Amino acid sequence: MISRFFRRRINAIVHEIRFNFWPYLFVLPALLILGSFLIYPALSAFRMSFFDWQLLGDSEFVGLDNYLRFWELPNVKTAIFNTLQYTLLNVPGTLFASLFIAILLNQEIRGRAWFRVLFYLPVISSDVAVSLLWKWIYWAGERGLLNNVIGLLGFAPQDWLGDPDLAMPMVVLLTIWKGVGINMLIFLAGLQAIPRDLYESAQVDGASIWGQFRYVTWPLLRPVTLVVALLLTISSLQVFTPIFVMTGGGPANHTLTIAFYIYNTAFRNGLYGFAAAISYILFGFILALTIIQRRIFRDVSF
Amino acid sequence: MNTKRSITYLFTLVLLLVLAINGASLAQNQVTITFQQPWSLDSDRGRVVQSLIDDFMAANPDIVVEIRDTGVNNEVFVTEVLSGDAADVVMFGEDGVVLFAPQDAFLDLSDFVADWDESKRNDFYESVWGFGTFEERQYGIPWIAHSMALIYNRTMFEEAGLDPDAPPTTWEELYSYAEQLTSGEQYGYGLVGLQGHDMAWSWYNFVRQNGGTLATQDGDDWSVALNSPEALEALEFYIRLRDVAPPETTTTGGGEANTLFVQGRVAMYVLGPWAVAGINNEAPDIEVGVAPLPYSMVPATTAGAGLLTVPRTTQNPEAAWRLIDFLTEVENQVKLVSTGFAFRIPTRQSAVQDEWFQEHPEYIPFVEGLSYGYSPIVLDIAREWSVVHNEVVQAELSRAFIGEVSPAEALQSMENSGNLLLNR
Repeated sequence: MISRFFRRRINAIVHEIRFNFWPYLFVLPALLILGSFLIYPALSAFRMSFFDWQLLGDSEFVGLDNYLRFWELPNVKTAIFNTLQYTLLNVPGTLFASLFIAILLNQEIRGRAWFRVLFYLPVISSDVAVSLLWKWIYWAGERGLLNNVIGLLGFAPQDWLGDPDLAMPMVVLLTIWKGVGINMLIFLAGLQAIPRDLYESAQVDGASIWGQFRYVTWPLLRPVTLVVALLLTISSLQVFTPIFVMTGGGPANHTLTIAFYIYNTAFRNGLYGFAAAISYILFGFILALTIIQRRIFRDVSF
Repeated sequence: MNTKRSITYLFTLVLLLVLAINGASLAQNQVTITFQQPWSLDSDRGRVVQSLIDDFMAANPDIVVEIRDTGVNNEVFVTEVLSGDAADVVMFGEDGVVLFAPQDAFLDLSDFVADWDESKRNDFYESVWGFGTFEERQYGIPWIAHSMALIYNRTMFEEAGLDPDAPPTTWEELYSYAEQLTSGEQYGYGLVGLQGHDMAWSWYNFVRQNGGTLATQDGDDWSVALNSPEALEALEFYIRLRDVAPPETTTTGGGEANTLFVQGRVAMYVLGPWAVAGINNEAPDIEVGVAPLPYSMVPATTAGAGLLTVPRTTQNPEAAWRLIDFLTEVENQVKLVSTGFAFRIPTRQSAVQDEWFQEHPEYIPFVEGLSYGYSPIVLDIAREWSVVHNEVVQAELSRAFIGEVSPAEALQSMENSGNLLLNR
């Protein structure tokens, strides 16, 4: 019974490949690359998460130990807390900044294309290069670029990345600047899908600019907003590069995030099993979040 | 086509073939070994390595050495060992040696060392020699090394009315010199305050100079020894140095401290020999002075080494050892570190007598530093210590540095959390 089921499945697959040979051939290179550099490592990390993994020598099978005991690792709670803090700042921050800019750039203004390019430029810049650049902007003391600017306004220089209360918001500010471009683009697409006659009839009914936004733009943008929020949440939970380049998790672990913590656990502390387990917990968390947001998204009427 | 000419061609071809076959049979008496080292062969350093290897092959016609210059990376090395593709001689930092020696990745070289002339063995600085020892067996032979020294700007000393030939030797002098060197946008000391490894080893220097230590052993058990009066004084002094350091010190790592010195923003800082070479390169106008680290009780500095190891998968241990023996000769060590960008120092005491060091006395403090050099890793418990070092010490140090907790509280946490990790 079961074997017949499988035989039928296999026959179906063979049939499928025979009749769609060329398309499958064309996706094969991408499939091979993704398979060896994405899927295979991900699966072997899953296996690793059940072992006290040794680079050389025998790895000991520990069952669910890494999943049940990761809580005992030092700083892991700090990393979770900081990541949530980062997410709570970054998601609304980037979302509203992108929406605002998208609305501005949706108007008939001079040099509109140029502005769109300018806002998009940070997106295609290298994360590492941009982080280094911002590290200099945030440089403490009177020589820092930002300190120079606020100095002109009469404020005292700040230790932007060295002050425990400022460090994380400053990292978020960089990611907002970096992320605005791509999300602005998504919002622009959403804005242009809104029929113009809705605005015309709103104007006829005497709606103000705010009224038009509140009762036309915002509700019609809701699906787009949800997509942006979802993408932002996923990327926020995985933030790594700016932390790695700018703060090293400091000062005093105030910018230690989960992704950076996983990196430390594996590549600095050699606890590969724990690192793999935390990665999968993070994966599960993101997956759950995605499913929930998809549910909400599905219930939205267009 | 001219027949005569074709016959000549044919004849030449046959001759070449015969020669090639001869050559191949000659080569059968040779062994080929691979040497894995970090420098690309088209870099200056890689070319020096190549010329050393050429010398070696000229002196040892029975050995052919192929250089692998893809760098040395832990994960790649593991893959190579597991697939039997590891090189015959590999250069590792002491962190690599203590990571892989317990996992049986290396050949025990103790018997080869025993055959050495005692004068050669005893010429190595004990500190760096110990970097290759695990459970009393020798797995790595220190090839090149580094220690830290006080690097200072002689011109700024003169401008501040200080004698550039009498750099500070004690903590108090260090502080008062730094105070006198601080004025306007110039600061006395390039203090490392960015949470991380550089900040930790910078502070360990002070702990050890004050007679403290990182961890102590009692039977089989290890415990964190940083909650001590010596370490407390060291931490208080470290934080006090903020007064004579630029405001950006909380984001200053080792590399940034070097940049501050090159830019003429700080008058003194602490780093290894590569820094001196770098300053001479980037800012030839700066008159660089180098002095042993100032200390309160005992001289001490962080040190590290590049060690030559033989992976256990080798087919030619004899040939591998002969290469190690050759590379660790004093003149070859000096040749490697001194050509072009002098970035490391030899591991042997007699090296300072070499002509090059007479011409470059600024490197001598680094060599002498090896006589009181320590690894920032507690080598016997390297894996456990690395977690304490990365997760506990660095964070607590940073917390005390920015004033979130008192120095005493930070040390208490280091002890509590650190011991939990060591006894896990």
